[in-house]
Order: sequence, then structure tokens, then C-alpha cells
Amino acid sequence: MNNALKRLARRVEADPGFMASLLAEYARAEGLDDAGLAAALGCDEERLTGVRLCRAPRPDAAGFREDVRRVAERFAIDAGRLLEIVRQGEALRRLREGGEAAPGFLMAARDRTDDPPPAGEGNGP
Amino acid sequence: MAPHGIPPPPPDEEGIRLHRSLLSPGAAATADFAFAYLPHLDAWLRSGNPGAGADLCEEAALEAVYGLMRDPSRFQPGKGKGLLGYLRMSAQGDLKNLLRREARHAHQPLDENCVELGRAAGNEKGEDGDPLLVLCDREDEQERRAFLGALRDSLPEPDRSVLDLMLAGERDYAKYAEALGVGRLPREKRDAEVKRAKDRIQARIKRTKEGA
Repeated sequence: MNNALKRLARRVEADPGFMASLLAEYARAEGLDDAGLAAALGCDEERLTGVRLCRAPRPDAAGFREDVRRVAERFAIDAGRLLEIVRQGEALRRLREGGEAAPGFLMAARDRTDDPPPAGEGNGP
Repeated sequence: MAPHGIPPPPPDEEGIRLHRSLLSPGAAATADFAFAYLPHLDAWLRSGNPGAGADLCEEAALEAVYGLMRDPSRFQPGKGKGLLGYLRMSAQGDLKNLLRREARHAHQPLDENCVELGRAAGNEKGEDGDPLLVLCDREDEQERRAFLGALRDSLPEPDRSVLDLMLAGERDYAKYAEALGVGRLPREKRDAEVKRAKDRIQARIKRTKEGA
């Protein structure tokens, strides 16, 4: 794995425009290192780097699901698992920044059952 | 063709496709772009700058790729160099600036946050005999101020406010954080956001200078 790519993936953790920032929120909350995060996503560390370097999903519900689905498809990751982790990361960031800290928000982010699952959810490699 | 040991860059037509993808909202386009160009640029810089140090070459390559990932409209197809040429020029320019900054740090270890803009802020330190500094000091001050004024006009808020603070020689991260609207974040995160904004502006300065 190219070190520059890993370094760039680390750099964009501080950039809310990238997936890396959401994955970092989740990993921090769960106490996961790179190997643990890769395991949570069901991928190797090279694909984890790829996911980190993707843009954060668009904020609207349809765009969010579509972007997560495409990233999952591109890096052969279970779309449902990625969606769950990214949603939790987003919720954690909002909580930390004090934007939407209402009780139950994180749970709602985890269990947003009104959204249809993205294509391929639960059927990853 | 890439020299031996350097990962080849994508063919021109693939580069055009990757850049087009960057301009669209596709989430994976940034990753595809980085995978396609960063290993090549990193190795290319090391090959052409054996005295520069691997870490600085990597940082310069990273900065060039990251800059285009964040703002793909910086490169305009059909104007001047192709995408690979643009990235190489950008990375080489970033490397020169990193080397220059390192040289300045060697002389001014306590001035790391405002070395690039120090003279524009009226903090002229004078030449000290270092050839790199002498080269910097030959730039005309009036031209520098006009350049910075045009640069400021081109920046969106809150980067413009950050630039103003940099020009004023401000060192307090809390003031930058306030300008960026991230003052409520935990200190570590807040400082990372401030550093990123300052790095972004430094990179914009470099690129604007290269394109001038």
C-alpha cells in the first residue's frame, strides 16, 4: 500500500468533505484502530484507504444513500454496513459539534428504518 | 513513459475522464483520482529531487493531489498543460515552497506560522545571506501587496478572514477558529481545522503565484 495514499487518507480525516472524517468519528467512539475499522467494514486496509478518500455523502437522504451505495460498490464493501457506520459517524459529529444533540439522535441515526436500504445492502462480499 | 521504478500515470484520456468525474458529485471520484495520480507524483518527485527528502516529496505530491480533489476547477482542460503536466508543475512548486520554508525555519525557528506572509504584514526581517531567502527578498514588495489583494478578492469567506489574520501576523488559534466558525470544537479538532485552513490558503498562494 502506497504510503502517500495512507498519509492523504489521514489528512482528509480533518476535512468534513471526505468519508475519512465520518469514519474517524466512528472509530474514535468505538476505540478502533485501522485494522479494527477495516474489520468493522469487512475489508482490508487498502480498501479502507480508498473509502476514506471518497467524498462524504451528500446531505439529502436520497443523495446520502446513493453516494454510500456507490462507494460500497466501488470498494466491494457491504453497503448496509457502510451505511450504518457512516450514519453513526455523522451523528457523532453533530453531537460533538453541538448541532443536533437532542436525546435519541444517535439512536435515530442508527435505526433510521424509514429509509429504504441501498441496493446490495446486506449482500456484500 | 515513466522512468523505471515510477508507477506510470494514467493515459491522458483516462486523466480527462478522472477530472470530469471529479467535477461531478460522484463520491468515489476523489479516491479514484488519488489512486491514479498520487503514487506516480510521489515517485516522480523523489526521482527528480534526490536531495529533497522522501517526506517532503510525499507532502508536496499529496498537497497537489489534495488541492485538485478539493477544487477540481483549478485545472482547466484545454488551457496550457494537460492534467499530468499541471499536477507535476503544482507538486514541484509545492516542493520548492516546502524546501524554502524549511530553510527559513532553520533561521527563524519561532516564526513558523507567518514566514510566508511576514513581510506583507510589515514584519520585514531583512536578508541574512541564505541564497533561498535572498531569492525571496528580491520580490518587489508593492507587487506582493497587489498580489495578496487580488488573492484576497478571490477567496470565499471564511478563508478571506483567515488570510487577513495571517497578514496581520496573528498567532492566536482561537481567533482563527472564531473566523472559521469552529470555535466551539474541542481544542485538538479546532486546531486541526485552523491548520487545514491555513495550509489551504498557503497552497492557494503557491498556485496563484505559479499561474501568474
